[in-house]
Amino acid sequence: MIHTTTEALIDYIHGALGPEEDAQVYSHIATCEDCGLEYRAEVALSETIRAGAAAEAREFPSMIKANVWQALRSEAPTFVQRLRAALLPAAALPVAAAIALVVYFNAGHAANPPSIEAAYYLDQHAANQVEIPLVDRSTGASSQLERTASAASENQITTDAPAAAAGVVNDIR
Amino acid sequence: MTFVRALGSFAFLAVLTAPLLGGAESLAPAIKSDPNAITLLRESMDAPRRLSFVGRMETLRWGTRSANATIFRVEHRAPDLTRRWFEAPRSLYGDYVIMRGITSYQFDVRRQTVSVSRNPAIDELVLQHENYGLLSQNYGIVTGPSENVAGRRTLSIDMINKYTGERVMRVWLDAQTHLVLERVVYHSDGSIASQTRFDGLRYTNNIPSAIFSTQTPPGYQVTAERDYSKPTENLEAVAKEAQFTPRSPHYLPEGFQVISGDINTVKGVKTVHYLYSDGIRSLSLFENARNAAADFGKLRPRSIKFGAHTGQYVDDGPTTLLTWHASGLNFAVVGELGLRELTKIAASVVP
Repeated sequence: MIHTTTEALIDYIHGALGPEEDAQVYSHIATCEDCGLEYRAEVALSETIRAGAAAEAREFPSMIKANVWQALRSEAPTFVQRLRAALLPAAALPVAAAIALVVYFNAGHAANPPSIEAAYYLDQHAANQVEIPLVDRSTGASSQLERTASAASENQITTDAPAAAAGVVNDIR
Repeated sequence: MTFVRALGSFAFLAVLTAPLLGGAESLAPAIKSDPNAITLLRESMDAPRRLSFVGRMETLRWGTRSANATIFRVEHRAPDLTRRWFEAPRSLYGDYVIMRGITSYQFDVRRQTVSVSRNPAIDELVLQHENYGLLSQNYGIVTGPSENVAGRRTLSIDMINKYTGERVMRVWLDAQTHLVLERVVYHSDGSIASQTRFDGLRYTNNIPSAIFSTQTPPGYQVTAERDYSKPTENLEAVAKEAQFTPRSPHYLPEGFQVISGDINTVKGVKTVHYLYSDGIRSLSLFENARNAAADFGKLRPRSIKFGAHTGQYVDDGPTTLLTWHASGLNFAVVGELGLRELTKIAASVVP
């Protein structure tokens, strides 16, 4: 088993890895106790740093802010600015409604993109295998049940490197 | 009706099988099939239709990193009633599956649910026998050593790939009845991909009908019904119904050819499915034009780059599912050929 480096873990936490490496780290820390511990420690460290930075963030002194606002308000609006301000609510309403509709429909599609469950592909493949000679005709009939058991990891014999080294099982492909 | 006639279009066949025709014979080692083994194997295919039995079976399916194992009791009444009652693993203990012809009922005792599915492919005897022709075309069928399985004398038969010289499957047939008592499928490196074996077996014609009752037990709910579509050899009709132009791989392992196609509408998405086989091994190619990606749910897919594409794959025992997107289509291949071979095939669909 190749462990994840600290640098890769930090990049993973900050979403800086490519998809393949990201997937590898994701699956590795789920199964490797040591790397999982290090990952959680790095996450905790990042959060501590973020919290510290947030606590130390300072606002402008209130006097400076007040002076800026005063300077802005002291500028008298021109005729065009006053006209725009008067017409803005009337024009803004239909524009806002149109934007809202576009956002609503786009969001609807984005939230529910069509997808096909991976189990569909596996079941369909198993079901059609009965066309092959010598394949057990009940193949596929119990595939869903067996997959449930696999998901529960109860009928899985893990064949990772230490187990293989111990001669328990072998990685065969 | 032969495969070619049923297809109705040589041009379409040429498109789908073009990569398979060139050089297929050139590397073929001279493996001569044993006529006795051929006869035995043919008889074994029909044995469950004429024999009734009760027994215990073990299955093992090895993946890259894990193996799935089950043990179940089996009652079978010829020609087409079967019940499997799971003893192991613990998460399946007590669950059972009843098959009545093309319909199967999965009873989940923990969730108190029944799932019903109908698979018309089970009744496609003509198709199965035609595909036997494919098996004998691509494999040398030779007799192997004799052994005892489940206390019965067996005759073993090896199926040797004519192009690679590798043994791909060995079956142990009951010497008297020719029922398959053990079946082992091998990977290309000789390691075992899956094994099914009777632990105990008794032939009987006295299995009570109640064993095969599919009545929903009190408190159970029928949760899901699934009707698999009927596979067809008329691939031109499948392509027409798809309403888009399905792609096919430019590369397939030697001996493979498309043997059937079907279309399913999944969540409103029309999905084309082609099944390829060499008579023993098989491969499924799925396509949709609705940008419907695979939902892996709790499975943990891994990313992989092949050709100009990036895909995601998961292993389910020796079966691998690989999905990717290319040229406006979403693809998935499923098979037991190993990831390396699957990515090579996938890369050739849209090179």
